[in-house]
Amino acid sequence: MSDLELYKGLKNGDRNAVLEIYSRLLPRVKSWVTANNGTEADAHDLFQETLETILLKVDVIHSSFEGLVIKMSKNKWIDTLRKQKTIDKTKAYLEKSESLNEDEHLKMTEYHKYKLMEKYFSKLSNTCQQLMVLLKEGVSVQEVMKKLNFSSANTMYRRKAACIERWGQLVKKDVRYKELYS
Amino acid sequence: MKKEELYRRYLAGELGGDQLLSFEQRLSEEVDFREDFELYKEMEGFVEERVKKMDALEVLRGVSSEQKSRIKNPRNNVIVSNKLLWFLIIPSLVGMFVAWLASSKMQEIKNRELIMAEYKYPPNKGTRSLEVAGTKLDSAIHYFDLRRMAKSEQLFLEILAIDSLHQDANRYMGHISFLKGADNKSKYYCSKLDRLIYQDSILLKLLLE
Repeated sequence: MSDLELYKGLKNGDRNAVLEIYSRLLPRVKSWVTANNGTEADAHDLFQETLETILLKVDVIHSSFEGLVIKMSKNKWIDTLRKQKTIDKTKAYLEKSESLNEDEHLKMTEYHKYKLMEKYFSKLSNTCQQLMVLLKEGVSVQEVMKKLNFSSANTMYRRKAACIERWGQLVKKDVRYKELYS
Repeated sequence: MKKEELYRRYLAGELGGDQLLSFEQRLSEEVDFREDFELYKEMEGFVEERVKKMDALEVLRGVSSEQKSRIKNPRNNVIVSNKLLWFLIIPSLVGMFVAWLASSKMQEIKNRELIMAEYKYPPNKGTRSLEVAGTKLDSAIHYFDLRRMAKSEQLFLEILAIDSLHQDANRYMGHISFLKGADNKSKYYCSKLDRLIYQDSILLKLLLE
């Protein structure tokens, strides 16, 4: 598959493309991370995080997809090491050219916001989750009411508002909220 | 009306007139109201993104989980291999130990059979028991000649309690112990014998050589 096909495959949920991405790029990320104070599991998590960021937050790529994945993974790892204050013990420190640029940083922040939202969205009741998803999918109000047993549209919207209020309360209680939204 | 409902209606363009003016005024004046509005938009954006990209995200996470289990497997395999190795090593070691024990025992039995093949009882002295007449030593030898070892041993031990270097008592106790299979005890009694007197003793040769 070409570079562009891999990117499109990732965006479209093509399993074969994702498998190829893993087989082609993960070993490169793994060898780099393990050479820089990380483990195979660290490399895997980092790689997955990079792919999810690209899937969710990168709509247009200006360079090669492979290059973007490798660069973002490396930069993200340097960022992690910097936070852990172990960067001086690694070779990564020497690669001054590698660090998250503004755009990548923004994408990563957006991705972390997504993860924060996701964490607490999954803690909501099934009715809350379904209600929000169905309405966002464009399912008609009547159908949603029928499917989720609401007596009126008013009740349904009040319930949705209550769900969002609860969700917002949970998100705001998280320690990462201020860090990400300040 | 809940803030969230206000936000929804504002974004859906359902607010008008005074309601709209009031909403916009709150947005510009109240920090919390504004921050919550931003969060509300973020949450709505999340749901939209989830709807659009959930399928692709599920595929990606599925593959990721498969790949991650492959990272763990080699480690598990090593653990399994190590366990397997111990399962093989431990029975082998136990087997070897049992074989060694059996072989030692066999050797011991063989050695004893060789000794027994050459062993001869001391010649019959024709002594008489205490009941008839005679000394304790005569009586002890008498019982030995009759192969009543327990009685004989008891009398020899009584003699040795008085004189631990008593030559005849030690000699016979050497034989009695040997016949009971207590070779070390037999050697102990034989070691007290005067070699010059008992140099022809077959038991001494067998045990001490």
